[in-house]
Amino acid sequence: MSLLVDVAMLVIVFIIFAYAIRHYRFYWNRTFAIQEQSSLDFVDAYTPAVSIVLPMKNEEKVASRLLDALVKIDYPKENGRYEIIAVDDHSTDKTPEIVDNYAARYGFIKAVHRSGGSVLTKPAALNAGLTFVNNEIVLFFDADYVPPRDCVKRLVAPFANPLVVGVMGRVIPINSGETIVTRILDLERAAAYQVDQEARQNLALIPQFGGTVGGFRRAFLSERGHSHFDPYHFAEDTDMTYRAYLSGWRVSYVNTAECYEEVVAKAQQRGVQVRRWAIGHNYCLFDYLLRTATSRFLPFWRKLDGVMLLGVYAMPFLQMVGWILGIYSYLFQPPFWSPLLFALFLTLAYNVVGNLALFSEIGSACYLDRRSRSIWLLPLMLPIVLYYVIVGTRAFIDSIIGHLFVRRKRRKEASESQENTLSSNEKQVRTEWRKTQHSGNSEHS
Amino acid sequence: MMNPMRGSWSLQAQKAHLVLGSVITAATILLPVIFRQQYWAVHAVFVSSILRLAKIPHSLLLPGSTDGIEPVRGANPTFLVDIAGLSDTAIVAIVAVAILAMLVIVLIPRFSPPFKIVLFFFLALVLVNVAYEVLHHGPPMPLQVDWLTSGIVIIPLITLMLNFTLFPIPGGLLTKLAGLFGCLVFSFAWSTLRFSLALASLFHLGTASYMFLEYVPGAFLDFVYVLLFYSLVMYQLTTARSPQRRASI
Repeated sequence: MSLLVDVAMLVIVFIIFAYAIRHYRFYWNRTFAIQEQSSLDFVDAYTPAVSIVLPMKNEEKVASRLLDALVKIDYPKENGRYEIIAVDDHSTDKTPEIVDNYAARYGFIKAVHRSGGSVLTKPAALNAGLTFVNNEIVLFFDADYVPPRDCVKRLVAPFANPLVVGVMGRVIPINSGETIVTRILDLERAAAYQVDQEARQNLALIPQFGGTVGGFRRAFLSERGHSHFDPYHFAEDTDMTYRAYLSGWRVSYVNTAECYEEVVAKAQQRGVQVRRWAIGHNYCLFDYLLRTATSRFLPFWRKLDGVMLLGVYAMPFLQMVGWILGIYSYLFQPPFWSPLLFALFLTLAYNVVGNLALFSEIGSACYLDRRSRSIWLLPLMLPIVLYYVIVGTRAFIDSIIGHLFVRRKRRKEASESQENTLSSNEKQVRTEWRKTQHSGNSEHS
Repeated sequence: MMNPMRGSWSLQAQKAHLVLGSVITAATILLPVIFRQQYWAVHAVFVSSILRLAKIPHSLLLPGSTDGIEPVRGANPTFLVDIAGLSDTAIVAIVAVAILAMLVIVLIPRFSPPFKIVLFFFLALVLVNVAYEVLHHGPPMPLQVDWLTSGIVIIPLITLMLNFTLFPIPGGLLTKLAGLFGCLVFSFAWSTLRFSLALASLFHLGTASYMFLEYVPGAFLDFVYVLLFYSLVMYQLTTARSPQRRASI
């Protein structure tokens, strides 16, 4: 038993150490290597017809802000080359009126109202919007986002490369000064995009589509027929990213395509958000781990990055298991090196938990963004790290249960009936939007 | 709005600083290995001074001066301290207070979840250490100043990390060196204080608190102060790079 515990701990330490190396690699590449900027050459020069789909559910506080920003976007709008499809998904507030009002004022805005249908999820709303899309490139923005005027032309530039089927831009919190949580999330976002995503783009690894401030070619989305996004998936963005790479295509990250978003202001809301993302991401882990590891389209390093990216939200669970094993070693038959290993474990663990970027990535991002005072908040991330361990562990257990008992059953039913139907009980549990309520607070509004 | 081109630039690594930092790193790996006995002796003397200041009765056995008593093991500096025993009543009281505190934390809605979890984490560790006390009677083994108790392991880790993350960043060498050596001095002071506190708690409170004080703050607080020094130096480097922002921030 003691040997088993020791081996398990060493395996966990090795995995966490591998993630630490990965983060340092990203930090070094983003900070000091020359950045790949080929898509910048196509900004203004390549302006294909583009459609923008906006899923909205009870977004009366932010809908006008987004639509105003998209109206002012610097992009050729003549001859249907720029269209906006605002999907009001069963809203019970003033969102339908706002959307209709904009559609009446601007010819390139279409209002789509979903009032029927059994699946009331964001991916389902996106699918509904996609049926009205006419253009080759489709971009998506969540309702709480505020794209600057040059955002769209920067986002579409990578599509000049025929191998690129998806694109993702940089997300920057607009309300970072609101609370301590928004300030810390600002740091997380800076590291995740300015360093992590950009390094993955620069190293030709797997930059990830994040579900918003990005998009796909319509031809790629249509490969799935009418159901472009898996309507039941909590992480349809990660799902689409892996579908693209496993089909031999690429997703491109554009660090200069900045877009502002409203981040959650309370730790509890952040916990709910992370849990939702973690469950969805773990579903992708179960679905794509083997296929990624054995894909013939992916070279070794991209494959390795793909596998590690899939495992990001399993790390808090491993962390928790490591702690429990450490306590076991401490209390029962501790080997002479166990205290050292425990300390080493905690030391390494601090750096690599969950979706949190290393402190060096955050420091580098702050330096590149020339934000000095934000760096002082780094030590405050320790409690957030512990919080993510708890939230992530719970999410991992939930995702295993969900995968084994809900998703398999649903897939079986779907394959039997040849359509995406659910039992009435599941409809209540699984077919609703899981979203954050946005307040419309911002420094720039 | 910040500079729109921040998304595409990168930095020129200061290779000379990195080389110098690597030399310092190599030195901080080699020197503690070669001169570990001397380091431990100095560390032990400092700890003993603090204990005397705190009026904790103890004996310090340095290598070569056993005062007729053989050190517990090896030739490392060894402390002899009377260990307080925890009565069953005290153990029950500690467990009850810890559980009560956990309940209070859960019931108070004003606490933010991350801070609830941090408090929970520490209380859970108290319970783990009480369990250690129940399961393992007798004195704890590491009463010596050694690899685990002297903070010697963190020294190369600090230089390795700060060398890699600070020295290549464009900015003044003096700032980086001051940050690095400040962090090392703080690390030595902290490890001395921590071991003194652990021995004092061994005398007053018994085994459980000793293990708690020796290992838990060691693992966690080491990184808090390393991060503080890292933040401090990065702040200086960033503001020095854009002096026009210093006034506006």
